[in-house]
Amino acid sequence: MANRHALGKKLAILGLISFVIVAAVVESASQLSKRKTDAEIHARVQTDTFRLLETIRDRLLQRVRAAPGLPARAIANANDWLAPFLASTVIENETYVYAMVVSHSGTIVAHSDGTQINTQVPEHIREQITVARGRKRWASELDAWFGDDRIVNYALPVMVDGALVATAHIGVSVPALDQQKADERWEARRMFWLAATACMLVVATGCGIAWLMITRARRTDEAEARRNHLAEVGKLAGGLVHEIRNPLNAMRMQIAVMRGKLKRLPGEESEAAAHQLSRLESEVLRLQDLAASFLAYGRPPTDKLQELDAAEILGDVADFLQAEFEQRGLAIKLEIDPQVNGATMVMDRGKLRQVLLNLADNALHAMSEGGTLTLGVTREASGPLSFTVKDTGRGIPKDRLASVFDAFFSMKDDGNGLGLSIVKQIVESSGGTIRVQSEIGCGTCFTLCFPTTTKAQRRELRIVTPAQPSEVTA
Amino acid sequence: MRAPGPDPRRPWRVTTRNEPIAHEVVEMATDTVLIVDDDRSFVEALATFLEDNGYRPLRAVNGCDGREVLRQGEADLAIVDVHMPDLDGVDLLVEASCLARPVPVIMISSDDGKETVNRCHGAGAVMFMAKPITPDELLEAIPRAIERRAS
Repeated sequence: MANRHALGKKLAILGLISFVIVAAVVESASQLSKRKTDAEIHARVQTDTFRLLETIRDRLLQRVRAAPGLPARAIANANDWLAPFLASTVIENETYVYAMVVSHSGTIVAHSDGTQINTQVPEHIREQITVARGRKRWASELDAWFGDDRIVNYALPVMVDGALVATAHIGVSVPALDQQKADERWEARRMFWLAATACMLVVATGCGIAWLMITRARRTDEAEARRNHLAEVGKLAGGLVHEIRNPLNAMRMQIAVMRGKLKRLPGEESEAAAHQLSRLESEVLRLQDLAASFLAYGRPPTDKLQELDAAEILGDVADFLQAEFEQRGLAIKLEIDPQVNGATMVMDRGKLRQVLLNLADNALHAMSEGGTLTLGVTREASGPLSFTVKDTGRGIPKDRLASVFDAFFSMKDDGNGLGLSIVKQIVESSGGTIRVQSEIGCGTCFTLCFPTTTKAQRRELRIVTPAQPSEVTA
Repeated sequence: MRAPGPDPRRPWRVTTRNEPIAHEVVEMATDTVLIVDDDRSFVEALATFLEDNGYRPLRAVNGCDGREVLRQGEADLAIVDVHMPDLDGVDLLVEASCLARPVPVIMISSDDGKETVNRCHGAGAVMFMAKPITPDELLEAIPRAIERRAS
């Protein structure tokens, strides 16, 4: 068990470490390739943007060629027919902030945002135009500010017959671009993280289940260890009690010898001494009794099962108790319900007698000032048999009622407290149940329920018990 | 004329003496009881008890000693514990019944299970008593056991 636990822990730690390593690898790979991916994205953005700019330029050139005369004029009204295209360009791509066409003098002649028409471009863009003019055929990028955002302004010169007529610009938002870059990078890793999270969940669930099972197993182990320990202690106690019996026996013998010697001595003192000796003997007897009870409590039942007639056994017990009860001025009543009608149960006869006699003995002690013991048996429909042992004695207080079957619980001054726990053990190991009801001053009633004989039990008994003479003659 | 020799009709002789007949102390033969048990104090207690009640006890605290004493042939009865570490009580029982003058044996044990009782009776024990043994019980049992041997 401990091995499994340790192994589980090692596996879990191993799993965790490997996950961390893999994640680190993936992340660092992503970081390392950041430059490459960023460069790729950058290049792509460039290509796309310049392609768009070329489209704008081509359209402009188209118009210029189509309309002879000053190209400037053709361009001046560019917004009318270019604005939709510019607007759609910006809308379609979220990294684009604006798309415009600027005349060689710096006036915006077309803009994706209509409000900017006929305004002057900012200083830095004009500079860019100047630079572009110088470079004539090369497009350029310019890092600039657009409001609060950083942008890159892509510009493409529109040349007619070697002269700069206008420039087309598209502004790309740097943060948006960065976001796009990040998104692209994330796309690559998304699959990995999805898979990883799924794995982690599975592993975590697995670990959780394993942990639960281990703790449950450990608890069962602990419970078993406790049970074993108790069994050990019980065995030790049994062994001890067993060892005690011999010395107790020796003590009784010696006491008998002493009694004999005292009898032969004359005088009153020897009588007093003899009296003391009796007291000593009764203590020894009490210990012997306790030892016997204790060992009976611990002994596994070796039952001699018989089919017992409920009414008959009750009558037998009542007869047995008759003399003793009469001697103490107590009455015994027998109540056999007609519904019982010869119903039988399977149990060791001696043990059932022991149970009933034990309960009767308790009743006897409870009715120290007279009373009636009622022994009854009833049966509901074709249900179990119910034996009742009722007395009109002093009763058991409600707060002690629950613990009345506990071992070493006794209401008597000299009781050893094992009687009722043995009774309960016998009843329950024979497949029955026992209940108690009591009221102070009124009396106590013990109810024992046993199932009646089943066909299977009857068959089994017939196999085990040899045929009785009566059966043969029949 | 009287014939010489004893009278065939009255073969006995009547003599009268003037000396008083001395009191004859009738010494009853005391029965010797051998006690074999591995618990020394138990043996001692039984021995004291038996002595107090007119028996002559012989003590043995293990099976081998018990066997020795049995072979000496002085015991009229043996009380033997079934479970002893060096020698099983039943073996001793068998030996006792095989002697020239067989000795009746009362087997005692704290184990009163069916097998033990049957084993003892099967091997020829005169009686089986379960520990703890009541003093009265023992006193009753001993003369009965000795009688049984005689019969």
